[in-house]
Formats: sequence, structure tokens, C-alpha cells
Amino acid sequence: MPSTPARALVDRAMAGDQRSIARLATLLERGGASAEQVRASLPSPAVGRGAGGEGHPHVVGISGPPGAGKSSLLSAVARFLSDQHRTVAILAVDPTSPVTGGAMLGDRIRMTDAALLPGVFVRSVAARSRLDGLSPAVTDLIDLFAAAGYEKIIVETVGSGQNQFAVADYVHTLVLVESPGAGDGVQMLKAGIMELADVYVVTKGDLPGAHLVSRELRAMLTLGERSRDWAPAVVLTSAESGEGVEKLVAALDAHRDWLESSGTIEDRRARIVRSAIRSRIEARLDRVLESDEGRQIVDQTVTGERDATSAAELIRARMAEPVSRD
Amino acid sequence: MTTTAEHASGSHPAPIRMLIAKPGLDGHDRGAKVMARAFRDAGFEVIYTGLFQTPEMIASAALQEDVDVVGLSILSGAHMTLFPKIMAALRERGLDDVLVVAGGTIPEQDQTAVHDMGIARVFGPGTSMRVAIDYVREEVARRAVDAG
Repeated sequence: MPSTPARALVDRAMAGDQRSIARLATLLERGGASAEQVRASLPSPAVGRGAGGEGHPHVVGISGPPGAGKSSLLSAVARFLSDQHRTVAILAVDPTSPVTGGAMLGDRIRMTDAALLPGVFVRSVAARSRLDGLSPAVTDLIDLFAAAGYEKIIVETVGSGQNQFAVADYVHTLVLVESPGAGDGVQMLKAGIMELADVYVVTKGDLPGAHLVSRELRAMLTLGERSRDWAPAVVLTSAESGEGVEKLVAALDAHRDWLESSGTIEDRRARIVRSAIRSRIEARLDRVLESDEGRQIVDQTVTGERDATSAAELIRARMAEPVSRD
Repeated sequence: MTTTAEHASGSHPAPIRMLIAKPGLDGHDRGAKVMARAFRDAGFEVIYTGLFQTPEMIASAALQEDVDVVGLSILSGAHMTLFPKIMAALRERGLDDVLVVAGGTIPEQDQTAVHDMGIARVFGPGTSMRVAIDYVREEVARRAVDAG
């Protein structure tokens, strides 16, 4: 594809051109100078704004163990939203091989039909250097789809375990997905992501054991004291029959409304903005470390010419310099 | 952000994005899965669509995923019917410049026609993975240079 100035691509993306949106996503994922140019052309970061409403996307994270049915559920959610003439962008993250850098992005298998519907955009995202279920470009991609006018932006994490809750720092609403056979009530009592979700979903509602899991989740939620007055919903769904999908969308919308009406949105905004700032600094740090000078500084530290503290100081100083347009 | 050693040292360039799709009514996906795995191991980001894909699903996936290459695996014998529809669906979305390759059972006598449809290479049974991977990597790089 001919190299088009980022600004022209952004204009076309904001007018709804799918090819331009897809191209910009690639440039943002690539990082470095190309990402910085796109970032500079995007309208002011959407992440700091409200949840829902005109031009204010509602950003939802969905996490849960591998094979719990996250992608199938999202396919059903996308179909439901499209039927209601609403728009949704799904960022489906799958792991990158630490050995080869390659990735098998298989979430789309569950969504190829939903992705054809009006108002639905599905993008598979490799986790690349991140090990917490997200991608280094996650905030940039959220901003991109916000600029393109998507009402709901859903980030599906890599199939995740109990202690992987970084996604909570990037979204307005966090959904945790469990499926039948996920263990007994003690698993629900464990610390970690179980404490953080705003909406809980039990998938595969047509299978035996699904009702038991949702009962145990409800029991867990009544045991502890929550500091906030949102009572997390527990929704039983079946992507097979479509059961519960409408309820789930209603729960997401109710949480968005509650964030606004309770003022909790301010805390979430601050949390999201902190993450956005952090990822920009980390992107800059990676760039400096990967530059010729960065490598030289690392080499000098390896040979003992320099200690790690002075190396860090030098890197920090380089990070403060303006970015060259290479 | 947690970073693995390899990534921090920047040893991986931007990966090539590849769509692997099984068009039409063809339930034999072993070949496609072997390909997906081999390209993954060669450092590609492979988006696998699974079975029973319509031309529209394939073209829409290629568009939204901004892939550099589309790999079609077909063993049903319907390539002369399906491939023109897939190529038309890609063109309709402005994806004329995306490299398209095919694998599977495509008889010798159809290969010229398949090539004329815009499919750059056909990898028949017995093709070594190395050959397919090297071809795709070189062709994607060549097209990137041509595009400036």
C-alpha cells in the first residue's frame, strides 16, 4: 500500500473507511516513529472522556480462562448490538510466541459472520511484548476506534488466570467470564481478578453445572463488603441459543450509566489516563533501548564500563529528547 | 509493561500478517492448520478463519485485519467457482495489492486459469513449508518496496 500521510488516513478513518482504520491499527501496532505520527494525528485521546454518549465510547474489557467462550460470547453480543443499529469494535488479543515472535490469532474463527454485520469491526491483536493479556498498542487502538466513532469498544484479553487483571486499568467496565467446571466456591473466594469485575458472565449456560457456577458467584459476591455501591451482575449466557445476551448488554449499559450517575467515572478516567501515560512512556523507553545508542549503553553496562544506575540516567535523558522522524 | 528479553532487544521486526482461510463447503482443515502452525513458527502473525468461509467473510477479514497476504486452502475441487468470487470480493474492497496464494488440490490444467485470476502462487501437495514461507516473505517484502 502506498505510504499515505497519517493525517489523510485519520480523516478517512473518521469518515468510517474500514481500510484506513485497519491500516492505522497496523501502524499503531508497529510502534516507533510510525505510531507516533498516527498518535499525533488522532483527535485528543478519547480515553479520558466519559463512558457512552455522543462521541464518548464505552470501553469494556473481557477476561477469563482460555476456552471459556469469550469470543463466541462477543460474537453474539456484536450481533445483538448490530441488530439494534449500534456500533462495536472488538480487539481480540491472543498470545505471541516468546520464541519466534509469531502468533496464531484464532479468536476471529468465532466471529467471521458477526464481523460482516453493519457497525461491527473485529481486529485480531497479537500480545507481542506484553505478558499481561494485553498488547503494547492497546490504548492507541482504543483511541483509534474511539476516533472512528465506535460506541462500544471491547477488549478481549488473552485467556487469563487469576492474577492477570491489568486490563482493569484500561477500561470503564470489566467483565469476567467463567464457564461450567471452573472449580468450586473456594476458587471464587480467591483474591485477584475475582474481586475486580463489574459484570460476571457464566457461559455455556446450556451445559450441566452452569447454574451451580452462577449460584456460587452470587454467593461469593454477597460475602464481602464492596466499597462501591454497584452490585455486580451475574449473567448466565449461551452463545449457542443466544440466551442471556440481551441481559449482558443491559448490564453493560447499566454499569456505564451508573459510572456517570455515581461520579465513579472520574476515578476510572484517572486510572485509564494514568495507563495511557504509562504506555506512552514505555513505548518511548523501548524505542531508546532499541536505538543504536541504547544498545551501546546496554553493552557498556554488560562489560562493566558503566553501572545500571548511570545507564538508567542516560536512557532517561535520551527519552526526554525530541523524537526524530526516521 | 512486562517485556521479554528478545523483544526488549528488538530482535523481531514487525511481523507479516497473514490470513489463512478455508473457503466453501470443505471440511478438511488439516492442511490449513499445518500451514498456520508453520507460518506462526516462522514469525508470522496468522489470523485463522476456520472452515466454511464465504468470499465476503474472507474479504472482510482481510480488510479489517489489514493482512499482507491471504492464503486459501481448498481441497473440495470448487476452486474455479470460488476463487473468482473471492478475488472479486477483495477487489471490491480495494484490496488489489494484497498477495493471494493458494494451497490444496488444484489440478495442473487449472493452474494457468487460477494464476490469471490474480492468485500469485499455488502450492500443491508435497510443497515444502520452507518454499512456501520463503516465497511469501520475499514477495511481501518486494511489494512493500514497490509500494514505496
